Amino acid sequence: MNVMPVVIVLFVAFLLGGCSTLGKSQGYVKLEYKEIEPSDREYLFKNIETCSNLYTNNKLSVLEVYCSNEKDGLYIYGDNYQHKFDWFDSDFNRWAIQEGCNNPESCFYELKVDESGEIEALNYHFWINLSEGVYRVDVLNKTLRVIQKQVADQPS
Amino acid sequence: MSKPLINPVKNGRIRKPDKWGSGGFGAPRGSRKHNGLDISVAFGMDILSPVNGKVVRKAFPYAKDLSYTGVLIEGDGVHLGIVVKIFYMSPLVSVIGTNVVAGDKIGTAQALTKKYPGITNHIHLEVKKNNVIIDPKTMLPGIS
Repeated sequence: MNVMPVVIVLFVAFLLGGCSTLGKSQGYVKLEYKEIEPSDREYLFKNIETCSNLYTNNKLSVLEVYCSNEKDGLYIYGDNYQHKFDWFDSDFNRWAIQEGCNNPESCFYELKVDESGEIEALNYHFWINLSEGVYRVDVLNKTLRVIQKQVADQPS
Repeated sequence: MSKPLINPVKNGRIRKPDKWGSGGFGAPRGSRKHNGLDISVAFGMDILSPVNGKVVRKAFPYAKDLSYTGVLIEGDGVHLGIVVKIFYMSPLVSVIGTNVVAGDKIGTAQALTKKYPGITNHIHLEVKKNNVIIDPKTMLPGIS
C-alpha cells in the first residue's frame, strides 16, 4: 500500500494547523481612523471629550485623547480589555495630533493581541505633513515601550 | 465662491524640476504624491499671507526636525472655509494668533539646501477647501 499520499496530507494538515496558530499569536490587526459618533461615546467612555481621535476595527479600538489634562493618553479597548496608557513618545504624539494626518487613510494602528485578549504590541503608521514612518511599540507591564521607530523626512 | 488667493511670494513661480522632484501638485514623491504646491523663493525673502484669516499657530512639517517651521492659517470673510499650511518659512512671532489680510507679511523663507543639497529653495503651500485638499494653483490665477 502506498502511504505517501496519506503522509503528504498529514504533513500539509500539520503545516496549516501550525500556520493557523502562528497567525493568531503573531498577527496584527489593523485599526483605521473613524469619525466619532454618539454610539461610540457610549461604548468607549461616557465623558469622552471632543478632543480625541478614534481608530477601530469595531472589535478593538484605540482612542487618542488630547484634552491637555490628566485624561490625555492612549486608551485601548477590546471585549475583555480596557486600559489607559501614557503616550509612547510624548513629543511625537503631540506633534502628530496637532498637525493631523494628511488624510484619514494615512495614519493607522496595528495591534497584536494574545489569546487572553491582552495587548502585546502595537504599531503606529503615519504620514503627517512631510514626515512618514512607523513606531513599533511593546506593551510591558501595562506600559508602552518603543522598540523601533522609522521616521523619514521627505522634501516637499 | 472663494476669492482667489494671493501668491505668498511676490512674483513667485512654481518650483521647476530638480534632483528632488518638481513643485506641482500631484508630482511624484516616492510612493506618494505631492499634496501641495512649491513656490520658489530665495532664503530670507518675505512670505505673505495668501488669505484673509487668522494665523492659528506655528506649524512643523517634520516630526523630529523642528528647525523647519511654518504656519497654519484659517481663512475668514471672502476666504471662509479655506485652511492654508505654509512650510519652510520662519513666521513672525507677532503674527501668531492674530488676524491678517491677504498680502500681509507673515514671515521669511528658510534655507533648504543644507537638508536637501541641490534642491531649489522654496516654500510648500498646502490648501484645504471645506476640509478637502485641493491644488493651490486653481486658486492662484496667473502663477506658472
